[in-house]
Amino acid sequence: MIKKKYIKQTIKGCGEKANFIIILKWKHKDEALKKILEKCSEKQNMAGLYIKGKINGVELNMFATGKILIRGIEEEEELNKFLEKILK
Amino acid sequence: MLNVNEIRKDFPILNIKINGHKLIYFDNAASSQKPLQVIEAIKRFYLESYANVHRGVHALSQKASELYEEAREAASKFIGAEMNEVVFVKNTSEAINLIAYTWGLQNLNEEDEVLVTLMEHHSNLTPWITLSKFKKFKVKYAEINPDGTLNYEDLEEKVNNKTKIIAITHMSNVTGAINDVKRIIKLAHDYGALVLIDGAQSVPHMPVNVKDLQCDFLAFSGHKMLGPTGIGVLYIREDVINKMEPTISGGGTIKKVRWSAEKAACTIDWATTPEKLEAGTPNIAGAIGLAEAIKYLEKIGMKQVRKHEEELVKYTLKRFEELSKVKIYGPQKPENRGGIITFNIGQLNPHQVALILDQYGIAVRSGFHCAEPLHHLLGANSGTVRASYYIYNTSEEVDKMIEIIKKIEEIA
Repeated sequence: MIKKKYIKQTIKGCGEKANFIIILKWKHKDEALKKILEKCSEKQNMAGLYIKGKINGVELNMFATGKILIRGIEEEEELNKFLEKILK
Repeated sequence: MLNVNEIRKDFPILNIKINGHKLIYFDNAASSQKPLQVIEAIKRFYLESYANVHRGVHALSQKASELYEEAREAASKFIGAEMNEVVFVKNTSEAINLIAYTWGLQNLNEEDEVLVTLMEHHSNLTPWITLSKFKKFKVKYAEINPDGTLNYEDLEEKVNNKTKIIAITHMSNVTGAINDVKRIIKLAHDYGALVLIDGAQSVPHMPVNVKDLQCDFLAFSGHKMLGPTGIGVLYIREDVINKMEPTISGGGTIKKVRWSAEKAACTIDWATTPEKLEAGTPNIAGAIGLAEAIKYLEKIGMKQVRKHEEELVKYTLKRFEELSKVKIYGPQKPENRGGIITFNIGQLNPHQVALILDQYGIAVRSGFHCAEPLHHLLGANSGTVRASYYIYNTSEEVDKMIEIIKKIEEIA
């Protein structure tokens, strides 16, 4: 389980469309963010506030604090599969 | 004027750094920070006076019982109630559920109606909706205006002789809108209905007196008013509480349980109020911590607390005028709202905004704030960002938030 190594907590944020907030384990956050960024097809620095990227149409908003807002995934099961893939 | 600098010395947590920045705690509507006095009172109780309360004959139990009942006295005086009208509960949610599943279960029937509003926290909606499935009464919903304030005309039209209870928030946890509950209580009583006030947001931030309001029930939480978590207060008017039978019973709620061999049955004599509604060992340390929090707030004065927050809201609204992409929800006049500023920035998701502010050590809440119907009515289908103030917040902290929001506007 790669996910276990990197992820401290997953929060399902409320909203009409599902939002997941991923909190990375502090000591592995840089390593995890690097892995994810390498897989992003589109990367955009949002005025130095965060980095927006896309992997297979899923939007990832990555913050220096080791938190990621994921949009475009509705179900937790699908999210878990996605996380395993992007953290590989 | 509050001496905020002096107050802040009692809250060491406000000096910690979050993500390299000094913490700016704007999540007070969710839970407040605790002053040293409260933390010390709880510590002192565990170190010097801890034992279970009531019916213990030994000295330590007597001491703990005395402190617990002193806490009840403090909570009663704080809202202008009598001691036998104040029940300690876990929090506001539990208090409302207790009323629904005790008073409601015993008094609501098929032909009856319960009136709530569309600005309620889920905790003041779901107990009534759920109970209505079993008891078959009707739940009616008073509408809100586009600015998030209550539509009084609609509420007035929906009250009738079938209305048995109006359950309404005193202050919206989303928009901060303050409801004229006195007007609603008078109306309800004219129809013979009772009124439950959700005081989770009002009691910690403004003077609230049950005798002045003439409400029948008032619920609030300790943790939102400098006290610990796990302790809340439920006020029930004396003549109402006296008629209520406990639905959660056990230790402490009973005077006698008698066995009749002849009838092959037990009969129960309930304890007096409020003990009959406090089953099992209560949160003694929580009550003691809450009493200390009340003492702290009373020393400042609730009028001063309210004034400070009103000034902060006024200042924030003025500063928000500099922002072009921010939409604020709720009443425009600071005097009509509590210390809550709820907003969105352009098309940004509220969680994005909260995560950005978090990077700068600013703690705000994002989402529906447990009031989903209200968000849909306000057209905020993805939720909102909520900054909520308390006695230790400053205009300088508001400035810092505005500075970051200006940066956020560049990408919104």
